[in-house]
Amino acid sequence: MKPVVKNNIGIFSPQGFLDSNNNSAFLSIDDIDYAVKLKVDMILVSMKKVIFFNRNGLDIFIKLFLKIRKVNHTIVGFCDYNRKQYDSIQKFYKGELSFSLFKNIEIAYLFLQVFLIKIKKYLYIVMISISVQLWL
Amino acid sequence: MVTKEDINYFIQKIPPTPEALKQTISLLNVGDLKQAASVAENDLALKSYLKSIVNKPIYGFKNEIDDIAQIFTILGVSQSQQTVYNYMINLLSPSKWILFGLNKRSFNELQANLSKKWSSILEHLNIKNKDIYSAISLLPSSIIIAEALFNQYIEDVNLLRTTKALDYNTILYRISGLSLFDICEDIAIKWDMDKVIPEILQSSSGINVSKDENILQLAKWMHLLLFYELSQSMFVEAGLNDFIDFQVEFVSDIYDDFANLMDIS
Repeated sequence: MKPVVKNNIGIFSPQGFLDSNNNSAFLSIDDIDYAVKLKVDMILVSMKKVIFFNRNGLDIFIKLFLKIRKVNHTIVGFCDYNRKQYDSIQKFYKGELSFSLFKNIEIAYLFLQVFLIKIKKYLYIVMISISVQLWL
Repeated sequence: MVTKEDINYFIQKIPPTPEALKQTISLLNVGDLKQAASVAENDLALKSYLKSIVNKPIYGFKNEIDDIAQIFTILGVSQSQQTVYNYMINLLSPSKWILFGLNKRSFNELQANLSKKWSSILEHLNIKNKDIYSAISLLPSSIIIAEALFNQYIEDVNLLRTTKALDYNTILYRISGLSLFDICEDIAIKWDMDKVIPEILQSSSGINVSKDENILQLAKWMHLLLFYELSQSMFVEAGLNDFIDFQVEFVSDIYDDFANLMDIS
């Protein structure tokens, strides 16, 4: 499975059931290499179309996250989860969360470098205009 | 990319039901297992298919079953008809798979798994209608159609799928206005399958859902069963996990019941 790249984010979208029987099937060595070499700000795994998962099912993606972070400083994590899935992820990786969790992709966009730079520029302009108004 | 001509060519290429199969099915329809077996005996390819399917581990028989009459007796009318329909769909499968990493054996494995689990679901739901048992047979034909239509356009499809999260059904629909399930329906009509079969199948896409509550319920079970099966390692590796879109919300109300039945924990 290869990630779909959109707005500087690579998103994996597995479907159905993620458990120990199939976890390694979702990512081949080629897929992992492809993801590691992607020039993106984030690599995320969308949980939108996953109906069942356990810790073993997520482990292959966690290994991918670790590999990506070793090679570059791309943000990695899960997105598009519901409350039940969020609680399960927290339970499985209690105290060892080494990845990000974004409720949905729109929230993830807020943490993109491009967006943060835009916000900084915007704040800078706002501050200058306030200073000018005060000076006048 | 896929054109309407490609689709028309594929539909035209679907062979008519062979005479021996027609006879076998109509004898199974009236419950004459013995006569159906003697007709099926004459079709060597059907005989070999039935043997290979029934002797798969999922059927759980200790000794090899060799005799067609015995196979039909063990399976009963509904599952015998289901298996003969599976054979018919199998006739459409390519000799070499290009788009998906399948082969004859793994495709038959998928058919056997779906059929056996569908039978367990119908037993659980206390449904005995043999046409509903056979409805599952048509489902894997959607994979054959995707393979036949897209295998010449692999590079275009891969390019499209790395920039947009589109499944084959959506791509086909946007190009031609037809879904994979519409083409499955054409197969069912051409092969004179009972009209309930394509109705359940269309609904099982989770998109074009039936207003009939009974068909809708069955369609939900079929949709979830398909994705349960397509989440198995062999089929994920074959590239089938995301060949159509999984509609989580469509099946959410039957999930717990399904998980209990399939022993998922």
